[in-house]
Amino acid sequence: MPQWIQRFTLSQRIQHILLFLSLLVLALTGLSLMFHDTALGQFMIRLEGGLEARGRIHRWSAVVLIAVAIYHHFSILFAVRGQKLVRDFMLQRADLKKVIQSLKYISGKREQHPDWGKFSLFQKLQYFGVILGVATMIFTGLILWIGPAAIGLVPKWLVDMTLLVHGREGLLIFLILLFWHLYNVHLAPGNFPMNMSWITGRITADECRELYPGEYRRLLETGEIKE
Amino acid sequence: MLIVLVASATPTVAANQVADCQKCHANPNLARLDSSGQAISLYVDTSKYAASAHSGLECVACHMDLAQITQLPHLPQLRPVDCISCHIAEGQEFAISTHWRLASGAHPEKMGCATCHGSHDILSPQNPNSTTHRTHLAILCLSCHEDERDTVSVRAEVKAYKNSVHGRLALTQGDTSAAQCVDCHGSHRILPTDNPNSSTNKPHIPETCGRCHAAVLADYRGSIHGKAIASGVMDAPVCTDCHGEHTIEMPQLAGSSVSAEHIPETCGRCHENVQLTEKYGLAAKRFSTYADSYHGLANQYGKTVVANCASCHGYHQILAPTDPASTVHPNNLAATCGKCHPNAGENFAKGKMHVQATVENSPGVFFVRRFYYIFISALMVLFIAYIIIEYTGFAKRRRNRRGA
Repeated sequence: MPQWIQRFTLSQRIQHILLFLSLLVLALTGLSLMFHDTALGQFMIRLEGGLEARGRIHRWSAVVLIAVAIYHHFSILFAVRGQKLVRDFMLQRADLKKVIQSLKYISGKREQHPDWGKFSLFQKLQYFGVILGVATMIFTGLILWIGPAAIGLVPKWLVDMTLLVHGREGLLIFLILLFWHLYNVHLAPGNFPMNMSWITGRITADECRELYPGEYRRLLETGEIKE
Repeated sequence: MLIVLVASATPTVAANQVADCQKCHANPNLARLDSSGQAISLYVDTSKYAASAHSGLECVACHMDLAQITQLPHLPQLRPVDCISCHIAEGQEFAISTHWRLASGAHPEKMGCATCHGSHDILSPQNPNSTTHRTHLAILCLSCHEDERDTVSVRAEVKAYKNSVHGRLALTQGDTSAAQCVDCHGSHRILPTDNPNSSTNKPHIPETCGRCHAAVLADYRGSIHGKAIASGVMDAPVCTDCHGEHTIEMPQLAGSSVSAEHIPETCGRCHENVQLTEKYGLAAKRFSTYADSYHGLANQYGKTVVANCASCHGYHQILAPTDPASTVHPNNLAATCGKCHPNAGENFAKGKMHVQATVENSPGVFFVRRFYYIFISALMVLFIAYIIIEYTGFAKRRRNRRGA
């Protein structure tokens, strides 16, 4: 029987599911509008029930995203396990050196992963990237949501800029999730067909020892796992 | 059966009165043979002639070469009737028309005064039974121009006209004030459109339409398009360039080229045209930048309530945005946008409307767009490089382990 290590709480897993479902729908409805002048874009808009239905789906998904974002910020500010999560995500000076080691590992010049704690630097950057990206999307999205009313409040060029940033930032997030996150959790060596921890919330002690040696040592020291 | 005239019939006195002529010509079977042996009827319906516009005239008033005859029956071959000897003004107009070429050329039998007006049964155009009365006029033109055998058949145009607002009013609703063929093309002096004197030649089109649409013509003449045409810029649009010719339709109907649905494409035909926008230094891509906007997108998806070109720029009175009287002059934008967006203040107008973002006109948008383009591209290159490196590294480690 392998020893299991709890990596994500139930709340975090539900947040993740709501996050990616809302992002997926937002991306599909958003990109179809962005590429409305292509056949695929027009097909997608039809699939989404037309231009107005597409907008309604997009905004309802945004409500889910905003709710998750607010919940997450409350949890990392006030909940014990949320506060621990942020501590684990905090960037450390030592991470820089480990990036070099990690690059050596992935290119085959090194046999072991660097001495990562609970999260690698890539995962940390991704976390803050998501926070920053979602904040940008929510902020610009709300301005555009106000829509016709916004033109009384802000100059036209700012609306133009908001629309541009909302579209390009959305495309950026979509591509990062596709080429980086989905690659890493589905297709990266050892993860095919997928890393199950997003559902189970846990990994085996052996995986932990290989991927996150620092975290493994800490868990040994605190006695949460045995050799 | 036919009674074929022979020269040996009884001689009589000169025939000067209708009644004299009708002694023979009231016979419905009276005919002669032409050179190819075809029977040509010489019958004249006495009652129709009596009802005609010329009923007060004697036969010889038109068939002048019969005035001198001394014996009957007269020679079968008469000179053609010369209508213009009385109708001088019409004759002068007809003489420059395109129909004159047929009438005076190879096919006088196909085209002459009688083709449209009739001969012995001729009626005044004011007479409701006349072929040239407004209620029959369109049908009259179509009788040749809709004919498949006609070398100048304009069937496509005719078909379009019948479905157009003018055609429907004139043909099916009997509205005699609706434009018919002759109203635009002229009647006696009809000319092909490529003739500079034609009423349908491009620079003359505004006057031609303006004969009915006088108020519109006045608006158009003051517009940038009207002024351009007046100064000889033939690339500028006249009425038909936007409204279509025979296809013309009410702007309220979706099928119209100037309906809310179609106005963007119609204006875009010129304002999206690279050659024209470069030639006249106009802002480029006015259609595609509009199509990309909220208004354009909603318009494409059938929301006709959104702004189209005409909503902001006006239509017949359209002016350059630099003209202080223009609805899209910066000073008037707040009011123009305010027609739909009551809360749009001066603040809102501070920005560019459907332009192609360049460094000069919208540096902010231009650089943000450039930044994302470079950033996203660079990131994708890095990701793909990472994936390739990771898999080659993975394979390398596996080989090392097997080797060890």
